[in-house]
Amino acid sequence: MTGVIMNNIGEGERLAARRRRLFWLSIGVLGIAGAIVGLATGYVAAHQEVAPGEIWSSLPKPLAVSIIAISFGLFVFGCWRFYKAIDEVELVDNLWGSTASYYVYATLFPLWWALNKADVVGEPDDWAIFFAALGGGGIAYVWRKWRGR
Amino acid sequence: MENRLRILRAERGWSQAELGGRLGVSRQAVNAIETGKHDPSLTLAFRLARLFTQPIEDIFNDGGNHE
Repeated sequence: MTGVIMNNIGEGERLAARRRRLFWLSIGVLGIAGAIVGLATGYVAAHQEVAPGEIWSSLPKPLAVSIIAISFGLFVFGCWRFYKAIDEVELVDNLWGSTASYYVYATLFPLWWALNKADVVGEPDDWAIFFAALGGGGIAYVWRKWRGR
Repeated sequence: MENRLRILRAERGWSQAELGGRLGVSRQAVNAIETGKHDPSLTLAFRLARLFTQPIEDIFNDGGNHE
């Protein structure tokens, strides 16, 4: 009996499907925008025969600043859309991830810096710390997701 | 926190997605609340109470003694 009732899509499921569509549409649009920026900079790099790390310095400053500003604007817009689309459980999972990221950063950088001053290791690597912080946050987020399902 | 959400939902023949849609949250959120892995905010608890036309304390039980 329950199976028959559950096979009929109710108003709630229709609303949920609509929310999901809007959410994935905004993610898709942002993904496409990111891909366009990535392909454009990649094209410029290939065309001007510069190393990937030197793309930005090879561009005219106004163009570089414009691309960075647009990317930043899209990122902020994406975050805002994401925040508006998620529910409180997703928000809590994100806050756990953000907190873990912060702790990784706030611990790793001073430790590395102090070890560098003690001549044990080289200078702190910005990108390594950035990706470690992202990774820490990602692990906390995935753990929350896995635990909650 | 213990709750009677699964029972109330089953009485109406709603899936988790159906209840989630009516509440404006995901199916995963309904599951997390039902299994006690997430304590809903006051806002969501009131929304649940209104949807099931029951007082909040009849849906959720924090294990404490109420006088």
